[in-house]
Amino acid sequence: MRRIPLAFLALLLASTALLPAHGKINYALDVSDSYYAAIPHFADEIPFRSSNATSISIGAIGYFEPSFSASLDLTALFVTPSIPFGNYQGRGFNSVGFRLRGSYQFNPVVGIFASIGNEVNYYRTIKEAFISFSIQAGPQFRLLDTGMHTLDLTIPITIHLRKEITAPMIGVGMRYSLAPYTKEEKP
Amino acid sequence: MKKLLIFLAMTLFLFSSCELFMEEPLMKGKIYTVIIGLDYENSSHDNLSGTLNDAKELIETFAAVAERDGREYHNYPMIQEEGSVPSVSSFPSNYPSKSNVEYNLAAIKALSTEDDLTILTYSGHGVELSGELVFGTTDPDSDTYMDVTELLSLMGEIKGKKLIILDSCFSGMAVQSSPSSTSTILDNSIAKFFATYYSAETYRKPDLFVLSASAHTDSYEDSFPSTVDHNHGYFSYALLQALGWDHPHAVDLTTVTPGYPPAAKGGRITVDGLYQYILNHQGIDSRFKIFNYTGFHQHPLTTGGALDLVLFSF
Repeated sequence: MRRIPLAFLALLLASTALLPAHGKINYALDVSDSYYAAIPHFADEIPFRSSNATSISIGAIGYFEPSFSASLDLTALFVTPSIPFGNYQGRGFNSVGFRLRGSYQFNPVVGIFASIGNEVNYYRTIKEAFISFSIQAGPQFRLLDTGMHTLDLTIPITIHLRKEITAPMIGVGMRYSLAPYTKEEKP
Repeated sequence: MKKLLIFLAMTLFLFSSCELFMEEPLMKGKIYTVIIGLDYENSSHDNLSGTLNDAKELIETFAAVAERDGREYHNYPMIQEEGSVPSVSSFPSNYPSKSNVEYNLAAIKALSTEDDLTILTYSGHGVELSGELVFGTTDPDSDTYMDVTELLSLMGEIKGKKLIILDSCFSGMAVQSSPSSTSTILDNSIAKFFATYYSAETYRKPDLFVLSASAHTDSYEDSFPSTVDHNHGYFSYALLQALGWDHPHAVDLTTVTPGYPPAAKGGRITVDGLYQYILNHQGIDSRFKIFNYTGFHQHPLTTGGALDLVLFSF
């Protein structure tokens, strides 16, 4: 079981070492806030329970071309307890995980992005953990691009796949990317 | 862009309207409590000095919380205190023998409806490793032990929502593992997390929750405050505080009016709210500490999974 993370780490280190030589490596910081609708797979008093989800991601390693980029993001997610309804309330949790993310720019302003991820989640109050998977996609709007720095407004639509719950999320976010080996564009 | 923002706002409104406009099925039936405390002074077991205080004060506290909630309250106090063993013919009795506990739970089973809440608290001994409960005996030949699965089964037969609160050693044995999450207190392995995710067992909305004083360790009692000879279990003392019981000791309990429960959030007391309050306020470490070793620690546990149970709303 430990071989997989070790192989993954080796691949990550190799990529980190090789990509700067080509000048196409970037790093990113992604923050978003979403509405979290927990749709239960079990009989409940309500079709879904509402929470707020705040996500912070760090693009640990990324590769980019003029209209395409790919990155490996380390992600943290903070989900509040649900709005109390009836005799139950959905528990709040934190999660950490990683996402493989790709994006494509149709033109200098409009693009799309998509990602898949895997997380370990932790119910803050009761100290219980569980695994989840997630898929995410959405449009992005480039607000700033200097070559070295880019800033995108994102509208992430996420499906959080838990064992007993499927949770669609929709929100708004910002993604800042830094390409340290790229020269600033001339005006 | 403007159309997109309008679309997002409409979507959010549509989603949130589910909770805003659906009729809320609030639990407003009766409240039944079975509050058990044993000091074992008439038995061969080690005597306990805080359990009777736990039980007597919980009786008053739950009565006050139920009144604040505006719900009809029925209590089945079961206290074994120093005195002689009552005769079997005195059934139904408040003597906490195993058979009397079974009798009272059967009585609640017959009375309860889906709108009711039943709470059982137990302050007494728990058997090492198994967590079995140790009851008083009305018959020297009868079995004084009750397996935790037997208690779960008896409580599970009662209609409505149920909560078992155990202040005893190894009481975490009564907290069944969740089909959807793993306790990091008992098993902190990512492999176990994945195994739970892929297991065939499915999560169902639970109507029986357990709140235990300890996980797989002893639980302890002490005098509160330390200058007064008035003992409680660490867990039960914090539970009493969570429910609004905070008074000078050595007074007539029936004259005390408990305050607003500090564990209530947004006018609701939930199982997690009690758990969080106890964890933050119990006067003993919840984890083993290497650099601040005191020799004692106990970690409460509660039922896992996606949902928390609302017990009272004001």
